Amino acid sequence: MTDAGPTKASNIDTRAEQSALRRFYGLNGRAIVGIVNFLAQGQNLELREAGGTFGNQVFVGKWNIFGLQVPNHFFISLIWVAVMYVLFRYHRFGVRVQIVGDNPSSARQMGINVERIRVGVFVLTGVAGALSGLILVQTANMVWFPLSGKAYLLPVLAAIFVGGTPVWGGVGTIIGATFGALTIGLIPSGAVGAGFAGFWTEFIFGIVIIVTMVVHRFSGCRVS
Amino acid sequence: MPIIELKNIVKRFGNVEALTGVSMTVRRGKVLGLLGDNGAGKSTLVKTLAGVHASTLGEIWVKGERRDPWTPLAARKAGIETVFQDRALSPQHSIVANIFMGREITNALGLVDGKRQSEEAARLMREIGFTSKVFHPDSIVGNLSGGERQGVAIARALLNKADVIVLDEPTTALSLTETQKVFRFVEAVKNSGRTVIFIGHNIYHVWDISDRFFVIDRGREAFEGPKSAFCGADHLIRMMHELAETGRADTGNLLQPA
Repeated sequence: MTDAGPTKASNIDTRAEQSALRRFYGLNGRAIVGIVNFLAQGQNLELREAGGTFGNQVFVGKWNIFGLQVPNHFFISLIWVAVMYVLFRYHRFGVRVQIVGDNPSSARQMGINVERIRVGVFVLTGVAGALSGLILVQTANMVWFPLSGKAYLLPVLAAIFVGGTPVWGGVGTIIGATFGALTIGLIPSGAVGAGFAGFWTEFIFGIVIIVTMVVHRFSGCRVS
Repeated sequence: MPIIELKNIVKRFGNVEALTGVSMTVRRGKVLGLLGDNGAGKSTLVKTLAGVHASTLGEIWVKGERRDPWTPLAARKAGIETVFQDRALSPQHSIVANIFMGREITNALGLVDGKRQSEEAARLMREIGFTSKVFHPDSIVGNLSGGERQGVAIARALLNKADVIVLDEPTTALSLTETQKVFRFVEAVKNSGRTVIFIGHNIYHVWDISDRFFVIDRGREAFEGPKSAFCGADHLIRMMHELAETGRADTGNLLQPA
């Protein structure tokens, strides 16, 4: 996925991530990438000796279940989905996230601390990102390079839209997003299996995003 | 003892002085009609009373105690619930979610008790006569009519047994039948013995429901008086016309501003 190079799609990545951060905190997304690169001095990092340790086993170890090699991060994702499901659907925080997403000014008038909720959501996203990063690096031979993870922005957006969360926010489900992620996760294999070269996957993600957004627009499900 | 006393409230937005020293007394169990032309400062006064805007100067006293700091949460704790002009609803969510917005019933872990919330919402809706075969507590607010949405906002205001309900222009932009619906809700609130502050620019609407009138003009108090001091809604309208044209009105036997 990362061999696509500087395509149009990666420009969209950068812009989307900047606008999300700018809108809420006036921060430039580049600044964060810059800090990370500064800390790493722009170099690839590797930690080969961590391979095979207990920590490594926790994240990417495999279980033999009826002859199937099931990796641990499959279970980690299941647990994460379950926790998020309860948090989003049944916990006060999740309920407020949905309200803030729908109408932040109403939320503020009714005494919800909108900034606190937003910071909470970003913290949660950060934790999820960190967890994914841990797994990503360990499945990639314990090597981290400054742009690893960058190629995931577009698939993540596509997964959210396919999962039924509209662009305007405020509604959506964890189960929907999970199935969206599964669907999107299968696109690369599907595309390669169908005979496309690997770099087409980014293009397909873009098409998927556009099509789902158009469908959301015309399905007329937003009430206001 | 008055339930609310606003003392010399001044509110500035940058260089604009929206309220230039308003003092208002609200008596328990009465309906106070707050009147004024567009831009007179009605909504600013309401938002200050609700704690949404912090007043630049002045004091807010509730039940004989000075309240400071005054925030939306403090206002609610003091028993003042506000139904805002924009209704402050979340249209993509259910009636229950809207009623419990910001104060969900939760257990020790913070998990929402959906069953109790649903029952409580149904009870509140019955209390103000806001029932129908067409919708139930799980109906999405965005699919309701304007008057019904106002009903959701009013039901929400009754949630915590508030003493004072502030209704900011509840009948604006509603059809005649919808307005009648809202009036039924307001009557139910009034009959429950609560204090109501009713804001409107349709003077006939305010006249029907209020016991007392408080008129503001250009950010300051113009005059106030009980319903008995006026000879009908038309008298009040004439006085407000006079006020708009000359900046002052012949208040006769009404209470003069201090």
